[in-house]
Amino acid sequence: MNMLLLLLIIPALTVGGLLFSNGKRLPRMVAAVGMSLQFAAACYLVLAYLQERAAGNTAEMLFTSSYEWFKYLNIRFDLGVDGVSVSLILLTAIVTLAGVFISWRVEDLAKEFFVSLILLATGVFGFFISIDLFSMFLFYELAVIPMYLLIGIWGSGPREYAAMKLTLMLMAGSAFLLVGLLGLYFYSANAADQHTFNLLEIARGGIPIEAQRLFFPLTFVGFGVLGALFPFHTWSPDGHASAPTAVSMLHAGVLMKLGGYGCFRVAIFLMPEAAAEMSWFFIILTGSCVIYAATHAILQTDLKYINAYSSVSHCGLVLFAILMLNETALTGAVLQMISHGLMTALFFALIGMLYERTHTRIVQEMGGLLKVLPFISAVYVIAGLASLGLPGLSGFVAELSIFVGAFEHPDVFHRVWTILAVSAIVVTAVYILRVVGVMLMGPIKEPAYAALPGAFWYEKTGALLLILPIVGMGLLPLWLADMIQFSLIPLLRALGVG
Amino acid sequence: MGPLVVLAALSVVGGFIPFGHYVSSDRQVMAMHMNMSIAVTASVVSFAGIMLAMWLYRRPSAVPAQIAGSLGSLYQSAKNKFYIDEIYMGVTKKVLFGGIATPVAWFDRHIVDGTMNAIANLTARISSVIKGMQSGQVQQYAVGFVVGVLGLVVIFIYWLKF
Repeated sequence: MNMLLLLLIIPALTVGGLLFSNGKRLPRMVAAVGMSLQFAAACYLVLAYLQERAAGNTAEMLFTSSYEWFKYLNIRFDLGVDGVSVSLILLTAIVTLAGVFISWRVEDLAKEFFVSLILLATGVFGFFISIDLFSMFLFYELAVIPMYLLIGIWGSGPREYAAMKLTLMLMAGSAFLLVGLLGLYFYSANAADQHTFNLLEIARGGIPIEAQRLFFPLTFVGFGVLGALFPFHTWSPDGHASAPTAVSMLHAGVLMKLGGYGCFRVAIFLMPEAAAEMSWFFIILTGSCVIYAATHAILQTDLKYINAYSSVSHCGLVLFAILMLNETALTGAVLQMISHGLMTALFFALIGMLYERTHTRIVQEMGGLLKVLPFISAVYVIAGLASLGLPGLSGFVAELSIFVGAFEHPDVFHRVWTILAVSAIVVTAVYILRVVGVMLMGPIKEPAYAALPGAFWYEKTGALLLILPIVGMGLLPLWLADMIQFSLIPLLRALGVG
Repeated sequence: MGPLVVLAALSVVGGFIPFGHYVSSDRQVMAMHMNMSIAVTASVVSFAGIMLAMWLYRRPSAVPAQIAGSLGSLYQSAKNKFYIDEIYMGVTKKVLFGGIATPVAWFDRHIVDGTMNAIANLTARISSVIKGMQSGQVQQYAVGFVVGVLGLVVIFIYWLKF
């Protein structure tokens, strides 16, 4: 059996186990065991991948298999991974496990909550291991739909509005995407002269440039909506603010990466000529998004909105980097996906912990928390420093690669937009340090805060699961960068720059 | 005091650690050169500054006040850290918060988000207008059907000339 199938079987068994778990405590135990196994499987996959590459296997995708679904239309379930998808699978496993620990206290419909959460994660795992457009779309939808339930049932604030807005906007994106994917299918031809959904076969056969010009924008926008492409990002702040903690973590940490990954793996890899022709337009959108969302974040007073706009800015940077179409920036884009996934999940986890204790998310209503909640506050500072790109943490490696790669373009257009995007770092520093200063430093704002309980073991476990890779990636980025760069070779060849 | 001593001691020896061997972007040893003229000038200037400060402030004297008075505005601006803090606050509060972030937030909330909400509201309004067409009354459907067929007949005969 293909080991990649384990990444679907373990969550499926966990969901099965959850369906038979009653009470308040058993569901979280089942979820924790299941997602720990999933994390172990993801770690094993990374090791197996590195071992295969070390043994000299230079295939584009490793651990490939193909299962027939619908012969008449040549629809198959094709599996395979490269360095990019392996690293994103590991990210998903880490964030999901951390999310389970952070949700340890969920008691309302705990079974249903964990079932929805793990279904969402299954969609993401399925998306990353698929190398055919049909399965990718199917898993994409599977990941999006549980979001509606998770926000609508377990959310807070205007949750019905946020859940509906998020779902409708992402579904509108899916409609664009479906047209784009079907267009690719009908213009594709494999060795047997059949239409195919298989990514590698489509890339080998090529898509005519006229079709690329039509389907590239549809596909890019379709995936871009999930990656918070301006001006289709407005579902994101409301959705994140209303979602329960673990859902915000998974959504911003992992689900939004589906957008960036899809743009990279499908839109650009399969339609490189159109990507090169039209990149200028999307660079304007994504570059604007980076600075626009960052400036919006500094005005926010609700911690979740600050982090949500920060996520829009960082995800905009991922799309911006992908559109630079060179090795350095593309490596940076994947590193940024991983780095942002870890950072933002950590931020949302910490915001959840603070909210549970202070019952507010408004920055000005808190103060002096470093004295009473040292662990949570210290981790918040580290996450903040990673977010603003401090050397030694993951954000620095990712952002530096992106900006160096973007600046490799010698023309004025690319350089001007790169400078604008770089200036977002300063704005990021403003909103991060402002929050740290107001919320964590100074005198204790409310006398009742002095009695707040510190972080519990499950909260510490969740936070450490996220913070260790942030530091690890910052100090030892080369093994990850090497793994990603090797997997960029086919894309760079398609773009004519490798 | 203790941590400061540790940091001071480390700062003395820190420069001798060959970071170029350990920190690299491409696994190659980074070539690092020492520019003697810059190093010597910087060291001499900073050492002279320390000596001057010691001479001026070690014991109470009228000399620092005399020098400050003779330097006038230059002394004042140095004392106020060349107004960097004020400039920073002005740029952050007036330019970034007031001049850029406030209009951006308004645009996002009212124009971008407003457009999305307007599309949703328009859809709901159109739906509320046309939902009456699905009344469940067969007679109403039959009238619609007959009118439609007659319309098509008129189009085919008089416009398309079949």
